[in-house]
Amino acid sequence: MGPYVKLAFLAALSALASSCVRVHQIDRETLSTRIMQFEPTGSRQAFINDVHSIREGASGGVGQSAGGGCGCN
Amino acid sequence: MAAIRKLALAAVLALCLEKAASASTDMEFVVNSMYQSGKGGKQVYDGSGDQSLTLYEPVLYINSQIDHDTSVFGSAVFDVLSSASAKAFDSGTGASRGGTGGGEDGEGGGEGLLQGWQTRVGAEAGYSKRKGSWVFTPTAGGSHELSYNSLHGGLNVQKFLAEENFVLSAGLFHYSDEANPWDIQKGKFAGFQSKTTNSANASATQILDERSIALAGISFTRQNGFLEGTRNTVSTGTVTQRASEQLPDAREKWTANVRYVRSLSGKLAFHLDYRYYTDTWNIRAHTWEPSLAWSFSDEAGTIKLGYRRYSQTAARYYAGSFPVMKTYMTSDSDLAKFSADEVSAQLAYAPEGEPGRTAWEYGGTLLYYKRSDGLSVAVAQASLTAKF
Repeated sequence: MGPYVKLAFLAALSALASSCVRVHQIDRETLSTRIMQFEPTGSRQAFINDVHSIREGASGGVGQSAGGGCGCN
Repeated sequence: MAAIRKLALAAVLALCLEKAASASTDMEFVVNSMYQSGKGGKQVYDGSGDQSLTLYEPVLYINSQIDHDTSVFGSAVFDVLSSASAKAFDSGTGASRGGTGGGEDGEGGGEGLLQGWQTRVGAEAGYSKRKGSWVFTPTAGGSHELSYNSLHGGLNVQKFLAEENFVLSAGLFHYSDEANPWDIQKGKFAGFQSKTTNSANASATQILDERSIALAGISFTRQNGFLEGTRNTVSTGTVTQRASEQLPDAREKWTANVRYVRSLSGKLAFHLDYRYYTDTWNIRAHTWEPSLAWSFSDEAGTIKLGYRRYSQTAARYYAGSFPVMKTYMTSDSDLAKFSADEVSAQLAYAPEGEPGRTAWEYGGTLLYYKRSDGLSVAVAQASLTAKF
């Protein structure tokens, strides 16, 4: 892992860890909308992740299949 | 088929429990289709480089909310696919004729309407239970196709903290697979060989303010056993002389990713994902994915427009050809150095239904993916969801 990637990832983790803001349930109207979900189109994303995993060397990990068949060449 | 029976049992169980507890159920039917073309596949059996692939995949998803804290879910999938390699078995010539039929079908082909096509069946099932601030989600599944079988299971655990402003998630997954490689010298399948995959991941999600949320995650995956492609070959100098791909029997992978979503207005949100990947085969990859999600018709509809940029270095065992045989050698274009650009549009529309009656949701996706080595992929998806 390159030094810049490490720095960026540590910065992201630090930002998460240091966040002291507490948003109460009643104030989460915007956050609860569909467009704010990480996967707003739900299960269809699973197939797209599979397409990436069979066509790229970097399969596996968060949100991606780590095994299984592929129907590839 | 055992996996199908398990899914059917899970579905029946879900429906029975639903009757008992007045649960709500979502049933989603998705048809995935994929069209791939490219002439730069140096791993292709007949040396033509033809990586044509057509795939149609109907999937049924069921998710039943038993009560406020419990849900069961499952999916069943049936793939119909035709690829260059699928037809490599039918004549001994390795001709890449795809699924257009004709010729004498061998083990890779079928009869009648499915002549020249392969099939794959699979199923997944899971159960999610919340206990206080913890959520436990075990899952299991399996798939079967001509030269690859998979059984897998896992457990994901979530912990909600700080009034659910902060969520920790961790998962462990195990795949017990087997692959049946094609022996190019003997002209027949070599017999199933095992492949195991163990994966662990962890992530943290934090609400940053009333309009933004972020996630950071890491994962580790270790694979052992037969890690080659079942039909991948390398050139030994001439088009007619090819040898089977050879790769180590172990591979370790690490990933780190961050995701960020920011509301730009009540109807527009900006998404940014980044993922870093590295492994013991010397592949390093970066993925950037910015996108915009737009809500319309009083939130009944959602459109997401995305761009994705991917780049990777080559595996240390990759070369275009191997005039001198090596212990490990691959010409798989997926393990070469390349970059890829992708654009996509996703739509979901759920008109407001009448109370007490089934609600419907319609969805669609169009995606185009282009690699720097010439391979291109087009994906179209259509979905229909019933909520009752």
